[in-house]
Amino acid sequence: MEFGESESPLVVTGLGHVDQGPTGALCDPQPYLRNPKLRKFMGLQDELAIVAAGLAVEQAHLNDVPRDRIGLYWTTGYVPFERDDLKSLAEAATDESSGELSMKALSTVGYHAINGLLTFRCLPNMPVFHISMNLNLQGPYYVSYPGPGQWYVAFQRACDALHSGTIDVALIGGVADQRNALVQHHFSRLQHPPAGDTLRNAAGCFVMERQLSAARRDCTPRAILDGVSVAYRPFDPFHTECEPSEEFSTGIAPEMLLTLGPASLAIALSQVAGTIRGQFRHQISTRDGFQAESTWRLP
Amino acid sequence: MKHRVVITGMGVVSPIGVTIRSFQEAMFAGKSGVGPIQLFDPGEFPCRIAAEVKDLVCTEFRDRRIGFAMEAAEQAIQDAGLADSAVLRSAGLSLGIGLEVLDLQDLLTWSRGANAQASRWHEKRLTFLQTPSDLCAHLISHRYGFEVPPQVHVSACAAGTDAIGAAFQEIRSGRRKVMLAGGTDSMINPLGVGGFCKLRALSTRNECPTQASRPFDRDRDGFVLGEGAGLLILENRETATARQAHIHAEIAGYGNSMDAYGISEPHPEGRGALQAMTRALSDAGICPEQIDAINAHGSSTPKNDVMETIAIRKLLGDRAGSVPVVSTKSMIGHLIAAAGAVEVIAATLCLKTGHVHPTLNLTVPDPDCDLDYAPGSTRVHPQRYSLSNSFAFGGQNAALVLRRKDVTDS
Repeated sequence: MEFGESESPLVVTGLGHVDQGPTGALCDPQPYLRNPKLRKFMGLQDELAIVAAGLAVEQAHLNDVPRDRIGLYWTTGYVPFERDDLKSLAEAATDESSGELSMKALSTVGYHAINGLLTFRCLPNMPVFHISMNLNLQGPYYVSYPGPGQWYVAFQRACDALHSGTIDVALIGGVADQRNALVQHHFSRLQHPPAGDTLRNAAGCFVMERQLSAARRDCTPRAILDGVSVAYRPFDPFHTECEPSEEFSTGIAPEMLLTLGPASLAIALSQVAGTIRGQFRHQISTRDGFQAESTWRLP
Repeated sequence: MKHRVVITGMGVVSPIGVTIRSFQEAMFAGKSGVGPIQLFDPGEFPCRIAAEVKDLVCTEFRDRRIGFAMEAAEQAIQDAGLADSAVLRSAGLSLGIGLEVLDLQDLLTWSRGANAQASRWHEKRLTFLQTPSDLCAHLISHRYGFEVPPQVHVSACAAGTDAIGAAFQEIRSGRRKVMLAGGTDSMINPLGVGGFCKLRALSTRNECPTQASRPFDRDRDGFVLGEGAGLLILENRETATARQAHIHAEIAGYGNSMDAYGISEPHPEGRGALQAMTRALSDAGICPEQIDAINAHGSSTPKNDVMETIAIRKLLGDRAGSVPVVSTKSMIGHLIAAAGAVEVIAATLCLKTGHVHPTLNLTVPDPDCDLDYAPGSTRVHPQRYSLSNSFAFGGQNAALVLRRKDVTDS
């Protein structure tokens, strides 16, 4: 999609990200919680998401923007589950004496032993709930799953909504909680898996709006979108797998490539905005058949 | 330029019918699809009932969601007369799908250190323990050769409606001419049922399953899990007319919103629901006075039904009591990510035929639910516009406006 001159360019006015890196650095969502009591419902993906979104919103100074004019376009990575939680589910469904699967065991003793909060912590729409509730966003939303290809589709939808005037501001982001047993199980069964220890827990988010609206709020653009395109080649996932690749034109450490899931571009923009100037390009081919590209100007 | 968007194909897999014809007959006959759980032994779970798909053999795929979606997609494409057509290959897919639930037997195997890694059968590896939800979208895209990036919507109970809404926007903007859109889901498995039991969200009326889903009734005690899929072919009206396609109805508007309120309960005044409905009407360029019927989210949960009633009252004002508000979930249970899509099909059939189906089991109305929910039996009720609502656990709300195909205003 190329934007014509008659349309106000889309600019990024706020960026936020959290990348736990290979060591799993701490992530504290507390400063962004309107209702700290809801913290118990949050999984790591929710905590990462709210921190990234909170940072982006802070930087964009959105206080005066009506909350029903802010849309949220979000992609959540593969469903996470910790090894201990999986094991507790398996134990809950096992007959102690026979060691076999037992619905009687699950539906009686096991059922009561299961942590009811697990459901909340792994649902892919929950990051959107926590962001919208804590940042009081009441506009439209788009929630997709599970990787950077779908993230690009969501990004394109956000651009459409801004150009059509459906919304004034879009929060666009993604989160990947990947250093856990279930996600690592998923990647390990692929034909070309990433090394398990390279995957990162990360979230990235940016605030995008029309340049004219940013100017009215005296907000400095941190990046200007020149174009975005998304293509797809259908494939049979049971018989073939697409070879992934990712490329940033500049400024990104090679070890980050393909390790950040749907948080990839937002984190890259966070890292380069304000540190380099000129053109910036992100290009990705994903395991699920997408080829996407975006080009930016960094003022 | 805004293009008008019409429905030219529909496919359904539901607990009361696995073809459009059988679904329509059962729906207007007020048949319940709820019964004791047969898909697995529910043991002593508090809830042991569900609305299962019974008349479809899904053996090609291990994940029922994929089998349902494949069947509904094929039906919709055949219904639209697009099989083997060049038009179809330019189509895109917009699919709402639910959470990938763990397979319990695989979980036990995995917890003992074994897995399916060694299998030469890639499908076995990819479906062991759980099947990634996006696989379904790739399988459909591959089967029909769709070269448009597929959309995978995961807004829980609103996902089916959001998928149709997003497809509608793609066509209306002129980016696409044809889209296959809808939702598929099945959570009737040990961990799905167990999880919802744990949240105390399900009806425990195990002794009388057909009476368990009772939206807006005073004695409702939760929803009933259902399963299935609904897929629609949406098309630019000019393209459809040029190829002399049969048009079922038109999609006129779409709106969604975030409640920004509670994690498992809706805003008590229906703020988000009202915003979604208002945005859909505004998008369609119509006013509330033009809405003739509403297919409610109507989940049969204590809080949702009251909230939806309040929101509809605010939307329709003085007319609220005279507009039928029906719940398809009273017959088919809650299909989660597929619910909105199957309910749009129900609403389309009502719009087309000039009827509204009944809301089952509404015997003693909740005093806080005081609209016309069309209890009893199907009634004749010609409509020009109708509205279909879906509200998700997690505060995502979506609504679509349907227009009868011969209505030419706006």
